[in-house]
Amino acid sequence: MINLIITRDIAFVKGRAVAYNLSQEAIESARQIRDSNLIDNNQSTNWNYFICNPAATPYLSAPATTGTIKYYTITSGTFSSCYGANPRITMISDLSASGEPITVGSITYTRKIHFLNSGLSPRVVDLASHDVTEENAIRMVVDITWTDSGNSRRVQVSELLTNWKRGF
Amino acid sequence: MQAKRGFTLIEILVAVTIFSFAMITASGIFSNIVGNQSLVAVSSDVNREGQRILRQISDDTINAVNTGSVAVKNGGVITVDTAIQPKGILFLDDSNAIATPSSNCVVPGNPDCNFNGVVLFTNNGIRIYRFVDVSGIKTIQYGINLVTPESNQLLLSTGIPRKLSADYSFSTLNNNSVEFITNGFSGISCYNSSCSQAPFIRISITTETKDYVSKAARHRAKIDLRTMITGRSY
Repeated sequence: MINLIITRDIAFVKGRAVAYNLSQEAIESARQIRDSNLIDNNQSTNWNYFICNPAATPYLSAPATTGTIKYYTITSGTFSSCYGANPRITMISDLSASGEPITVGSITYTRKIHFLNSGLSPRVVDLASHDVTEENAIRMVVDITWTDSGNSRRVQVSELLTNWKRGF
Repeated sequence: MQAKRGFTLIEILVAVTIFSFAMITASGIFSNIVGNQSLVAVSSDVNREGQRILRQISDDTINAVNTGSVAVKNGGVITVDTAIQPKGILFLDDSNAIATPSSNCVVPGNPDCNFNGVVLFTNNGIRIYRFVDVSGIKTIQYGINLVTPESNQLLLSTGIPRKLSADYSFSTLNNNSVEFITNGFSGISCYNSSCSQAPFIRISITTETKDYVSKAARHRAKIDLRTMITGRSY
């Protein structure tokens, strides 16, 4: 019995460490997309155009933060309709909301990403002061779920992403 | 005279049997506790070391926002290579020469995009991380230039390919109870001002108890960790 409890505890601690790193990976991917949008000299990409959906119009879009929660997954490759010839990291809509399965070691984790309003107040655009405002910030939420020994586990991490070149 | 009453042979046998069962059970529990203590200890050690090293590399990468330079050192003469103006991150191959990831390296799993080391141009000077096999033990090393630790000029030797000069001192980051199995670093780096992709590093490491294969299950542990890190501004 003690053996079982300790083994489960060890598995949980290990799983949680992996999950936090996978959530960091997602947030860093979003940062990479944002920063590439800011330095790519492409007039069609705004800082918060995290999503490239070649099947839709417009091809690039900011994540939805109102209405039904929409989920996204991170991918990479050449998306000529959005970025031209160079491969880029981007996000695509996860229409089935099933998340992205990621196998690390012997466990498969599921990563689901959605976005919320930043919640910052007041919601004003202040280019003079370069304050962070609703138009210049978005909250990213990453959910990682997995199962160990029949138990469902979950880690949720959220991060405020800002337009650090706002006003320029 | 009344005879003294003792235990019958049957009573003694029953008592010995019960005592034996109790001892066997107690020793089993004790053995389990000792074994579990060992498992908890090695698991904690492996988890802690894996996460500590990932965090240290992450912290330095977040701070890798400076534009550096690359120079060839020939004796006391330093010649700057003006063709390369690295921003934040450079990768190193197995021979400690500069590796140049293609734009395809944004896609994970590309076998041509796994590199042995990274050079980070931070606010506090150059920081180097590399995976090294020392006498069959896979370790991760941390290197700086002890003479000019604040400098962001990467010094290379005169040979071809140009490798890291001998100015960098390396020390092993991990404690000697664990080793690292890795595919290396991957990602994108910037070589000049026309860079259109934000540089980043992907790391995928397996941290395990040293001599993992030859150790009993209760004396070994392993954890796979992967993540991605970007600098915070350019």
